[in-house]
This record gives sequence, structure tokens and C-alpha cells, in this order.
Amino acid sequence: MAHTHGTAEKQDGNLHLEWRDPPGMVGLSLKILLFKILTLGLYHFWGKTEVRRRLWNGIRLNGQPFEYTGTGKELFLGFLLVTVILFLPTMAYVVTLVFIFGPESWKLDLFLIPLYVFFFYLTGVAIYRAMRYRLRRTHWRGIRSTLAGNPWKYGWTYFWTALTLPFTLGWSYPWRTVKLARMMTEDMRFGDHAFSLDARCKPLLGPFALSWLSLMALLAALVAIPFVPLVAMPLAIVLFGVMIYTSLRYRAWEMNYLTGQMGFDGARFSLSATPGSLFGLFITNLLIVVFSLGILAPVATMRLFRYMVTRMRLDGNVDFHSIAQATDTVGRTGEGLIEALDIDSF
Amino acid sequence: MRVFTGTLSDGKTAAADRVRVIPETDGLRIILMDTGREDFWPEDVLVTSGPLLKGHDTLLSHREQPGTRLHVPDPALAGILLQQIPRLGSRTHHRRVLLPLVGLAVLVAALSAFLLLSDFSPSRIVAGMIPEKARIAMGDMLARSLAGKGGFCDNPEGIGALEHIVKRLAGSAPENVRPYRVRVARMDIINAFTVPGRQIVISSRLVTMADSPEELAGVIAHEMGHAIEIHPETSLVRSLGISTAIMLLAGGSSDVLTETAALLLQMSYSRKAERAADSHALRLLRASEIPAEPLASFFEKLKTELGKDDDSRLMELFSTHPLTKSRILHIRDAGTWPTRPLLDPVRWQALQHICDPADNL
Repeated sequence: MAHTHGTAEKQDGNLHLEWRDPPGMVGLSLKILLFKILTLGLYHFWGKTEVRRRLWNGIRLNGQPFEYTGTGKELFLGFLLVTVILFLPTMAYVVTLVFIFGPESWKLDLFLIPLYVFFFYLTGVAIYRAMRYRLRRTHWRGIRSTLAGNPWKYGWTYFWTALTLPFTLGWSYPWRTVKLARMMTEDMRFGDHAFSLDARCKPLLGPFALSWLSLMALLAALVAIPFVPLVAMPLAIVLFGVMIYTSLRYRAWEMNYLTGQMGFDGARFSLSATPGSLFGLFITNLLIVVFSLGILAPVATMRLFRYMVTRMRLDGNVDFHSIAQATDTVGRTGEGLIEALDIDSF
Repeated sequence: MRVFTGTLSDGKTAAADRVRVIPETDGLRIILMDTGREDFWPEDVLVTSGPLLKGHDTLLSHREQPGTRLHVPDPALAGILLQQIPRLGSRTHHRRVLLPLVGLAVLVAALSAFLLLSDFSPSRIVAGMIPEKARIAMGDMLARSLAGKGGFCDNPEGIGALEHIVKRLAGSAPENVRPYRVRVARMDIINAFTVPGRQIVISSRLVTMADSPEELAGVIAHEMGHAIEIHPETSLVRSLGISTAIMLLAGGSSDVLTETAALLLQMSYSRKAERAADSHALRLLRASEIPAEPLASFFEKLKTELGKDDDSRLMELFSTHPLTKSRILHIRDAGTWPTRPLLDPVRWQALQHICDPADNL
């Protein structure tokens, strides 16, 4: 069966994105807990892989599921690798410094600064590499995705743009978000086709200003509590609510805008997140994770996936015939850096 | 014979064809709806990226054409395939993944048990390599943080009496070429601590609770035993090592289970350490002609105090220095030896008031 004719799509090229709840997520969560106990925690990486496999399978494009092809072994090896090449030398460096200068010396702090800087730089690199690993293990109809750029370049941008945040009192945040999202999205490939992101930061400034101002108002009210408690206390409670609302509103606006500016081939994405539904999702997920002592975390992740996919649309045309397989080489170890730095989201 | 519908893609482009899939006894017959062309995938070429699950749809690939994907949404096909080809199911997958992992975990547990039961202690070897200057600096920092806001007691008469006891104990043993630093801290708990660099902190409440200088000398001798065995340095290295090992095992995520395991590992070791410190204490007391019986009776006094009420300040002592009947017996079994007086009543009074301001005496 050497050649595909492409009869699965109707000729009008309608794109249909849907979500199907993977069955048995609660059972899977309990099974992972049991296996983790049996293996003294080693099953963590395999459990994570199994959760992802089901979540990816829940996303359907034109009826066909996405497929996660990563393995627990890759995640485990990646973690071991990073521990050996990063954490053991770091520990040795710190212990040596303590022995040379003593634990309370200012010289110790001086020599630790480069370490903090280096690790902050690595955070961006880790985010990019983890994303690349996941994309490379994401297949649809046997075609896989990837990130075509350089993790160190992204790490550098992540690092220096973060330095602008304190100097601008946080006002460079929307600009930084758009800049990083553009870097990431424009490096993204499905097969040999690139994604595009036609985004600027100006549309985000209005909602951002509102959330920034309400945060400042809240801080002002908190500062005033010792002086005029009867006025400032109720005001602070009201302003806390306002702050939560405006920051969720900004978050929803940002997600919708960035997704809406994203394109692939002849198709355009759109998302309809709302502050209220985001709030409901965060609160219910928090309750699920807290009351299950973290055991049902996979269920919470599944709900996040469901939220995103059911609110996302894909309109336009994609010429599936023209998309060929990605050609970059695929590494054999996975996202050790992000596991080690503990900044993983799912 | 059941006929399923699905899609087939060749992995070269993202396009797919609609197909009919017919499960046969030795494989799958695949018919392209568009052209009517037929293909047959024998059982042994069927592969999946993860185990096939009951109630899920089927996504298969061809062993010799890795990019190809055959997708059948009807969950019934997965049921048929699982019956026909058990290796595609999660049981095989679990056997392949879980058995080696459980084996590895058992190996790690056995190795840790061996290290705990044997006298071989890698942490102690590492602890022995820490330079003296670093030990003293580290220990001083710990001692200060233990003393907290109360600080150390500095009545000169009291310090003089305390130093007399320390000198008498230290002067008797050949390994005591480096000096000990013993301080009393204003603390409302009954406890004594040894920190790295041969430094000992005794709580003021323990000093006032002692009925004689010999009782206090016994406690100090015990703490000196910890210092000789470099227990504080070893336990620092060990807790660093254990938390690293557990971080590795738990894959970066430490939870209640692993934290408890770490605590248990450290606890069981410290019982052995207490016994070793007691043996040193007996040796030091004998060499400096101080009786051991007061130490035993002091321990007993603490034990009855504990029996009377569950004073949390006492509990603290027993959680760091597990006090058992066998330890008291161990001290009593050492027998008696010639003794001479340690402190006259005036100096003992001064030591009891070591935390008072200097002009009060």
C-alpha cells in the first residue's frame, strides 16, 4: 500500500477538532499509585507516559486521534542524564565553596550568584527542550511534529526579557509573552510544514493595564490597613476579588488572542476561553488534586485538556497531501532538564 | 465475519484513505474503499505505540512500514485483537516494564538494608574527609541556631566550673588532642546536642535538672562519645545523600511516603549511634575517675518523668536520644571503679547558676 489517495477528507477540506474523554482515568491514577509504591517511585516516568498516551488519544482531528509515542524509559534516562551532568557537579561546587569560605561568608553568596543566573537561563532552555520532546513524540496519521529552532537561543530570550520585568514594573510582560510565543510557535512544525503566529503585544495592553491597576490598588489597600483598618480591610477584600477577576480576564484574553493569531497551512485556530470558566476549572482542579492528595492529578490534567480542546476551533483548509514527514533527528532521551528543574506542567 | 471501517495513512504524507478492515484468524484484511485494492497485514507485523485498551479505538502500525497508521474507531476491534494477539495488551506491557522496575527497587532496598545492618558507612568516610575548619564553622552556625534568641549562658564562675568538668573528661583520653567546646544555652527543653567540630550544646534546663556534677559529667561524656564517632558530621552527609538518592528514586517528586522512608532510615541508625556514644562515655568516665552510676540514675530519672506525664519538652530528648532499658543496663553492667570528687559544692552551685548575670552571685 505505497500510495495514499486522501479520500478520508471531503474535498471541501473541512477541519473538525473534537475531544473524547479517555475512559478509566480514575482507575489509571490508582494503578499508577500502586505501581509507584511497588517500585519505590521508579514507575513515575512510565505512569506519566501512560497518562499522556491517553490524553493525546483524546484529541481528534477529523476523527483521527493524536498519538503519543514517547516511552517511560526515555523520560527516566533523560532524568538520570541531567542529574549526573548537572546536579552532581552543582552540589560538588556548592559544598566546595562552603568548605573554602564557611557557610556564612559573603564570598559564598558572591560565588553562588553565577549559579542562580545559570539555572535561570536553563529554565528557558528546559521549557523549549521539553516542548520539543513532546512534539517529536506527537504523531497524527504517522506524521510527527517538532520544534525546528535552537533551545539555547530561546533560553537566552527567555532570560534577558525576564530582566526587563522589574525595570518596567511588569509592563513588559505582554511584550515578553508575545515574543516568546512567536519564537515557540514559528519554530513549530507538523511534518515539514511550519506554524505561524501573527501576533503583536498592543491588543493585550488594555486588559493587562486593568489587571495591573487592580493589583496596585489591592497593594495600596493592604498597605493602608494598619492606618485605617475599618475602611481599608473591606476595600482590600473587594479589591482582591477584582484582582482575581481582572487577571483571569487578562489570561483568557491572552489565550484567545494568541490562539486566534495562530495559523497552519490554510487553516486558522480560534479559542473561546472565558474568565468565569477558567476560574471554575482552576478551582475544581485544585479541589480534585488537594482532596485526593495528588493521586488524581491525571484527572485534573485531563479536564484541562478537555477545556482547551473543546473550546478550540480550526477553520479553513489544509492540504494534507502536501504535508510530508519531518526530517530532523529525534533524540533518545526525554525532557530530563524540565523534570529536574521541577517546572513541569503536565 | 465483522467488517469495520477506518482510515489508513502511509506515513509519507498526512493524507489518509478510507478503508474496510476485516479481522481474520491470522491477521487483518484491509480494503481501500476508493479503489477496491486489497492488502493483508499478518498478525506478527501488527505493532502499537502503547498497549491496546478495551473500550478504546484501535491505532495500529506495520512493523516493516513504521510510518503507516491504521485507525479503526469502533472499540469492538480492540476486543477482538486483544483476544487473538495477547501481546498487544497491557498485561504484556506491564510484565515488560514493571518486573524489571520492581527488581531494581528490591535491589536498591536490599543494598540499603545491607548498608544499615553492616558497619560499613560511606557517609562516615565522606564525613571524615571534611576539613576541621569547615566542621567548626558549620557546627558553630548550628549551635547558634539551636540556642536561638536565648543565646549562650556566660556567667564566668559557671563557665569555669563547666570547663573543669570538660577538662577532666577530655584529659583522660588519648584521642582528645583537639579541644571540645561545651556551651550551655538558655532553652526550656531538656536536651543536649553535639554539632560538628566537637561542639556540644547543653540546655539550661538539663543543667538545673541534674542533681550532682557527676550526673552532668555523664551526659557530657555521652555527647563527647558522639563527637569522637563524628556522628553529627556523618548524619549531615547521610541526610544529604539520602535525600539525593530518594530524589533519584522518586523521579524528582518527593512525597509523604519518601519523606517517611528517609526519616525511618535515619532513626534506626541513631539507636546504634547512641549505644556507641554510651560505650565511649563509660570509657571516658572510668579514665577520669568519675562514677558511671549517676548517668544511669539520671537516665532513670528522665524515664520516670516521662512515665508521669507526657511532657513534650521531655519527648524531644527521647526522640533524638532513644532511651531504652537496655541502655541503662549497659551502663550499670560496666561495674564500678575508683573515683575521686569532681566539683566542690560551691563550684557546683556556680554551674547550676551559669545562666544568671555575673553580679548575682
